[in-house]
Amino acid sequence: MRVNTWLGLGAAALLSFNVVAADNIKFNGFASVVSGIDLKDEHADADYSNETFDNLPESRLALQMTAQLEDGMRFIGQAVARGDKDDGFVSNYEWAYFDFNVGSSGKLKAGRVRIPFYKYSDYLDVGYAYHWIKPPEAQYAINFRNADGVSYSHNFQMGSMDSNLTAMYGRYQGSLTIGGQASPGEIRNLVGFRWSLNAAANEFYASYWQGDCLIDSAVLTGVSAALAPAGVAATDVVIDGDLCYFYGGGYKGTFGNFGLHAEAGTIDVEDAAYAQFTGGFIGGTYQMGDYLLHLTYEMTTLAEEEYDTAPNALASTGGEITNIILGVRRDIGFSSAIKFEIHQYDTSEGYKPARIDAAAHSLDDEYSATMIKVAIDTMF
Amino acid sequence: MKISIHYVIALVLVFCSLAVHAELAVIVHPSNASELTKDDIQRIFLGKNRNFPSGGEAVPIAFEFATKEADEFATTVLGKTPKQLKAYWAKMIFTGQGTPPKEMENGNQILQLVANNPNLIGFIPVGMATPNVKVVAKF
Repeated sequence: MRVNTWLGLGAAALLSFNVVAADNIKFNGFASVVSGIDLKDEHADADYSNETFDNLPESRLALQMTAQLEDGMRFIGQAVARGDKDDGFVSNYEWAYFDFNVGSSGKLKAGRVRIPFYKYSDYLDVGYAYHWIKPPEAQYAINFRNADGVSYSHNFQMGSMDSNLTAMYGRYQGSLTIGGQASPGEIRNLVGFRWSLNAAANEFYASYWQGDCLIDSAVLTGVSAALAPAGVAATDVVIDGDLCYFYGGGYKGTFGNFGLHAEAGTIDVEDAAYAQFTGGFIGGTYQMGDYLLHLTYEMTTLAEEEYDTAPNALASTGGEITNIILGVRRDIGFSSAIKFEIHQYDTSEGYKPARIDAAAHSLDDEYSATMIKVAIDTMF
Repeated sequence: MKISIHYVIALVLVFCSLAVHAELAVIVHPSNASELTKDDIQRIFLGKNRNFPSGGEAVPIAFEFATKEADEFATTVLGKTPKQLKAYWAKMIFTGQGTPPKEMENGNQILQLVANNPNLIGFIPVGMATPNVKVVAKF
């Protein structure tokens, strides 16, 4: 584990003791250990193999410090160490921001803050807070969560209904995944909002985000080179400051012991060889004391796009992914839970996430995975 | 004889009810002019409102988690089981939206703090209330 982040957080906390009373600093944390195995192992790039249970890909440990400052101002830092196949655990500051109360119901944040793309975005890493081991990837597909900038959140009350509007402006710099490969990237002028409404047992949200996207992608460079002979301009292929956007929404309803969950969203990049990505899920839960049973069906659709360039150079995308999750969660005391899930994951015949031609494509077009996952979530 | 059996049953029911429901008083500083509904109290104790309806910062304080007073307040006033309340505050903490009320060991601490600070709001067993605090609701 890299310790510099933790040392940094500790040092920051110690320095703070000089100016902030000790009882105004709180530490909280959470941890999830996730173990999984893929019983089929048809996909070389999958998180889990069929040789042994693997604990690293989705496990994480976090420490959050909240320093209550003066006049409704706070500083919040959250360091998260995530399992990494190559380096064990790698830690990073996920959050580091000041927030300020605005009136009775508003909050302004400045620094590195979470981008509320989805319903569970704010506590995406806190496994204890939801019933899955991880929210369905068909919807929770954007592989970055935080940006540097400012956000404003306001709570409204409309009769017996509670509503919240959170908007932010910022910049993301880091890894972005395209064609199944993580590449250095950046999103400038990232701006958007999430609006949520809670009416008794019914919860709704809608979200829209956009930005200027840049990705230094070997996949897109290859596609660009393949299409050049056909007269396709490189700027129409690579992502070099193009407008990218996401919009989505969802519903959660609780009816006695039953729950209904559904979310859907679309990601697209204009003027680039990027297949529009539409995903979503629908699922149900049933609570029996400390046990919660759940079933979820999720589906992703990649838009069909194809460029005929030469007899042996075909660039194309398209296809569907489905995943069925059957699971059970058991609460242990007030702050821990153990979860068990079976996933049946399938791609459609001819699935092409980003293909230049069959030989150059690193992923199998059609494959399936049957995964078993076990997790323990806790918070402290 | 029938009457006496009914009388005994009624007495048993009354005592059972007393055993499971200890009445709580929500208290503020005597200078606080706010009229508080159950919804107002819920919103303050769930961190959704930071001010009293009449203005002024509202800072809730509570009994320690898993005490009988805290459990009673959670179910009767906040409409959540203790487990749901714990999960609620986990979300609030780890989303940076708020922190739970400061917890006190006993009702005397709450009584003393509220009597000395116009921003505080707390709850105690009804029988503990004194003229140094104002009872704004009973549950």
